[in-house]
Amino acid sequence: MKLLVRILGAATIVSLTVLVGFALFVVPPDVIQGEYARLIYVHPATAWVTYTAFGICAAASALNLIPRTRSMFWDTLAGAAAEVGVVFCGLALITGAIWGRPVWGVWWTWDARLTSTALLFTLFVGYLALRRSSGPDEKRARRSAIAALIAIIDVPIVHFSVEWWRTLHQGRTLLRPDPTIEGVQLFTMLWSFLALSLLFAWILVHRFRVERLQRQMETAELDRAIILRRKEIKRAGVMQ
Amino acid sequence: MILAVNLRSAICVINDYPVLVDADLAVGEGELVAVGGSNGAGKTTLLRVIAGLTSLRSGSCEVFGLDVGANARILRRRFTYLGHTPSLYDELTLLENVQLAAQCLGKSVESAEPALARVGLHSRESRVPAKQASSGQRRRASLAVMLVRDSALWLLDEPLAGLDSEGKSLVVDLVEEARSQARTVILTTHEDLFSGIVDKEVEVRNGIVEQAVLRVS
Amino acid sequence: MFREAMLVMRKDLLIERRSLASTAHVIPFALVMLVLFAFALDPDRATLDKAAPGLFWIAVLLSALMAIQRSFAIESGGSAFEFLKMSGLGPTAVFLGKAAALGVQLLVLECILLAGVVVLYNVDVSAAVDMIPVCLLTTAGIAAVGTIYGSFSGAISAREALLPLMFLPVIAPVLLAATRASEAAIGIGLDYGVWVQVLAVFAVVYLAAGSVAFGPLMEDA
Repeated sequence: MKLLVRILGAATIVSLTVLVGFALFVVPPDVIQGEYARLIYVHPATAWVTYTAFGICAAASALNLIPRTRSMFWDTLAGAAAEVGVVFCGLALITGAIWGRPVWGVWWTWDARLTSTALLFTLFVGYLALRRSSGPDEKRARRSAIAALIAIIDVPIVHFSVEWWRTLHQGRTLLRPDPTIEGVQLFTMLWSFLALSLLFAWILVHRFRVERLQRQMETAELDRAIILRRKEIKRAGVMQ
Repeated sequence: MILAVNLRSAICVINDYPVLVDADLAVGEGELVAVGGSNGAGKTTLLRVIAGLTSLRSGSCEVFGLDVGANARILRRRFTYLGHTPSLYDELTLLENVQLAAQCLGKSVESAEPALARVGLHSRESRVPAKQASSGQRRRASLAVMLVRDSALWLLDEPLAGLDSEGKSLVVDLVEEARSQARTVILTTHEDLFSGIVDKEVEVRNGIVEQAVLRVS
Repeated sequence: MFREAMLVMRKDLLIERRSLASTAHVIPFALVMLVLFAFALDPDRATLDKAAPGLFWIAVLLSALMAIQRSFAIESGGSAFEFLKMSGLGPTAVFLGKAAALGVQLLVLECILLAGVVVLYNVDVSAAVDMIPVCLLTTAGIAAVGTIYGSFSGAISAREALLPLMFLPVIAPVLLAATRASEAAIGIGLDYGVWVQVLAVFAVVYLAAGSVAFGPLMEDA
């Protein structure tokens, strides 16, 4: 397992290096947007990672609620995924704003994708706040899982509502049958998805580990407290 | 003998402190058990575990043969738990509180007045909002709630607290009546008033439940 | 189950009638908000009556926060702690009952605020009939989400801090849809049908989610 993670780490570094090389040096500047177009090699991928992360959080939350698959593993995964997701979501919003300003003339605009992403950010910040609330572990896990699912079912509703309301965002570049970017630019953009996905996976694994170690430490402390108590009881019994 | 309550090797942790460690308690149907122990020993925790209000870290607790954790909702229709402070809605009158408790279990609203009369709260007193009633009156009202629910198992945490001597003998009478009606009663108390009628006296000490005195009825 | 839900709803409304907490605090708060909006937006220019639908619903949402806090404060503040849990009532019934009570209180608030908007902002509501489904559906959605999030108690202080943070983002699409539908209802917007459908979907989804999720939530509260 450790070896796999090491390989993942190495692959991440390599792919990120390749990405930086291509995005900054190999690919020529865009005809219309100039150097700013290079942000296409960062921004969409961060958005993709965001949705993946929150998707993992929701799936893990659901699994934690089903009695047959219930386990603290899923709760730990949900928490880790949400944290990393919030970070990447913030990055997506920031890189989007940096790109939007010179290209569209505005830092922000209220179109469907941007608004739903911003809302997603706030929803999961709230989720993370809930995870910090006090109480026994299992109850908190269950409460958080429900919160995550309730938050996530909101997202399609938001997306549809805002889309109906206004649309300005770049049309879906990749999912159309003939993508408007091609060649080395297409390759670099796809590569950015790969590189950032690897980065996400690597960070997630480590965040998950930290969380799990913390849990194990708390459990161990509790077990020790119980053993001490048992000793006290025995001693009290012997003395009587 | 069918066990009303079967607690086995229960470990209960509250705020990172193991309050109950390997606690065992078996209570047969129809038994009256008094639980003693010094303050903070874990008597309340024990009752709350049986009521399904506090969860166990390990071990099992079964009431009427069903695990409390998994069947809390079904079981709560079959027992009544009276905690330290009476659970009543402040803005509703004592009468309305008791009526509500009856209606929650599908029982008739009319059963409330006789129950209140039985605990010594008559018309005028029972129409006072709970927040304006004295603590003794609230305690009596919660006893009326217990009567109206007509449960097979009574869990009483310090039922004598906050009552005058008349109130205390009322509680003893009610408990005796319950016993004669073959209800199971588990109560925690510091006082001796129940010594004459209990089947079993146990004590919570050092996180476990010890048999203080075993009486054969 | 319907009987049990009615019991819970009647209890909540009875308590509210006795304490008048909502009436004394929430409604004045909402009316003050309307006045403050007018200060911020200068009533003599055309902006206020165009913005009126949005401002109306914002006032409703922020007031709803107070009403939700109150709805759950009576269950665990004071002495009623655990009454509902130990009563033997099914959690779905409790959810629907509390949501219904909250909904009724919000509808009363909305009627008063509507009058406030007509009087203070000079808005013409002669097409008021179209507002009725909007109000009903929006209220249902707010009540459902509010009851779900209100039950995330843990410590009481946690609820007071967390409720706005969790509730407002989720209810944001309702604000959007309700405002657009209201604008359409009073004749300054379009697509009335679409927005009403969005409100309906939201209300149905969250009433269903709450009915299902309330069991574990009530246990853990």
